[in-house]
Amino acid sequence: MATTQTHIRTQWDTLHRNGPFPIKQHLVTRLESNALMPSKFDRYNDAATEIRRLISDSQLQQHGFRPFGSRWSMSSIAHQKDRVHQNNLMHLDLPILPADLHAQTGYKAENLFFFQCGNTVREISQVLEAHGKSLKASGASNGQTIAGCISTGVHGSAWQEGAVQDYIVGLNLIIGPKPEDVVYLERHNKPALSDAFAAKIQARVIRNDNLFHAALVGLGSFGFIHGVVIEAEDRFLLHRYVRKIDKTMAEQLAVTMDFINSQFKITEEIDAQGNPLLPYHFKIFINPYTNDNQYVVEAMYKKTPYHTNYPDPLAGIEKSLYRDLIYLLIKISEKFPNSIPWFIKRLEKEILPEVDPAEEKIIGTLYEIFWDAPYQGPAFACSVGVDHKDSIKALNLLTKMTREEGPVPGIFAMRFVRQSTATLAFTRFPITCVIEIDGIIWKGTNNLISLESYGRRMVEVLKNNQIKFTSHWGKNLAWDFPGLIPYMYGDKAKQWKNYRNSLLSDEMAKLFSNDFLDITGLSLKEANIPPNLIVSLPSDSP
Amino acid sequence: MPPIDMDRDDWYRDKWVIEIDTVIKAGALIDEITFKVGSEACESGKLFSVEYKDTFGGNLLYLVTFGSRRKVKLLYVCMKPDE
Repeated sequence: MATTQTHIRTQWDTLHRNGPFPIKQHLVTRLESNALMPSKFDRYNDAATEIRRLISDSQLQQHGFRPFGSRWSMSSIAHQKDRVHQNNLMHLDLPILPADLHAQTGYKAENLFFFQCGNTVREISQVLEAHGKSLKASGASNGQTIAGCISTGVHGSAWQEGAVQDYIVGLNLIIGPKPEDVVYLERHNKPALSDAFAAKIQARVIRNDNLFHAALVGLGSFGFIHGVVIEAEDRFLLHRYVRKIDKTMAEQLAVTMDFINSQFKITEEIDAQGNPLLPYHFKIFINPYTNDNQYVVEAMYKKTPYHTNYPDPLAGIEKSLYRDLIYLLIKISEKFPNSIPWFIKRLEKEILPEVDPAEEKIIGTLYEIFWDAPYQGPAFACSVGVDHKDSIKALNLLTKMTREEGPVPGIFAMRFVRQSTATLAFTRFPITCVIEIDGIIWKGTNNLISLESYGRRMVEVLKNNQIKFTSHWGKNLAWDFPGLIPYMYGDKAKQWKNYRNSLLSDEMAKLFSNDFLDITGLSLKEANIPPNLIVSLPSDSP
Repeated sequence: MPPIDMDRDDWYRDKWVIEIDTVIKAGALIDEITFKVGSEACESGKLFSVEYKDTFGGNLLYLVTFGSRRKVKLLYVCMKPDE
């Protein structure tokens, strides 16, 4: 049987030390050994029984219950004041055979993979590689668990592919303590797996597009995500280039995303007519404290079919700054904020990717290019999503505010992501430009704006200038800013709440809530929820 | 990973780390010393990385004791057990 260790603790923290946060219990579930239970399906179902038991126990004790994976979120989204559940040791993958497909599916069995919640992007990529497959997109690194990725909307800069949740085609949730609380959700218009497969994971099937889209970015609050079905694709290679280009050209690309007619041309990445190819990935780095007329940009081009004949893309040696030096710089910055721009300029070489000599490139798979994150110390990241057409206006406002009211120890970047179908995806614009500032966490002083105030000012500046925006759910922001979620999501927030409160009982909605949900107002139940929101629909329904 | 091991503040944070920092009695005639990774310490028996630190103090100890005391500072990162 799967077992759970209960650690009585008073504090819990994120990977990047954005807390600590108070807790009562830290639970860790381990699966039964495969020597005693050889069938993967048996071990998976046995784990579901254990999770139901934990939910039941939490309910009896009137405790909240919240799963977490790798703790990479920097906001308090993964925290629960009563019980947090660590699920990174729940990392099975289940086989999907052609016979498991739904009769009306458009998916190929060879591209569908079932992963348990605690699989990290790295583990998933290794399984996929063994089948000659790849994820379609990932974040900038590979340590997040798949359940954590989709719950918060982890993204890269694959502006034609979307974020991680956008290639999930099925969700297995545990929404309560009873056997019938194990549910399998998928789209009714794009079904993937048969009822017989759902029976193998002892799940009740609900095919309903709107419910699926609401649960997809569920903020950890739509029940326990036990497993997901991913649509992968044939393994491909990325050609990665880092260049310095004119600021005006970078800005124009951000606003238009028109690579074909731009002057941004990499000699090897052109078509037969000499026009630039569309990059798979495009990212712009901005040091807000310099007035350079050039920006560093990173562009990647997708190449199929995959071949093995390319140099090892992984750097043999990776250097990082002395941790004590980082702490020293932060301490100096807190006392003498005016030194921050000077430090950042000096450290540019360490912070920004190295600009390649003229024609050099790095070749690798998605998994190899977006490798382990080297720095895991205290860090902050604020990350807002805007329509790419508003991106330069928003960037200018935010960098101006950072210079005038900061400085803060961080550097800006812009990434671009295709629109998601998930109800609360923060990548909700036709092409979302994610404007992010990343850096080392600091303490506010009389001379230096605090992270909390900085996050609040970001919201105010964008709102006061009538820019529609969202924010990565796992990043730092003034999440308690009045009216923030309605401003960001309008009726979509109501829709999300209605589907959540239809799927979960009142008791379970409370159990799967946390402070983050409370301060954002998303734990509140709407009056007059329409009936029949969560019925399973046939595939020919509108 | 085991939560009690998750409070480090370096690259090993959030990893299943086994740290060995000890002095071994060896004897001048001992050539090699093998450290076995026991299943209690590393359940999967699979290592992701090993860090060995050579220190000036360790070398000095080796010299002044003619090799009979050897300082060992190792960090093993263990792979997750198969599920």
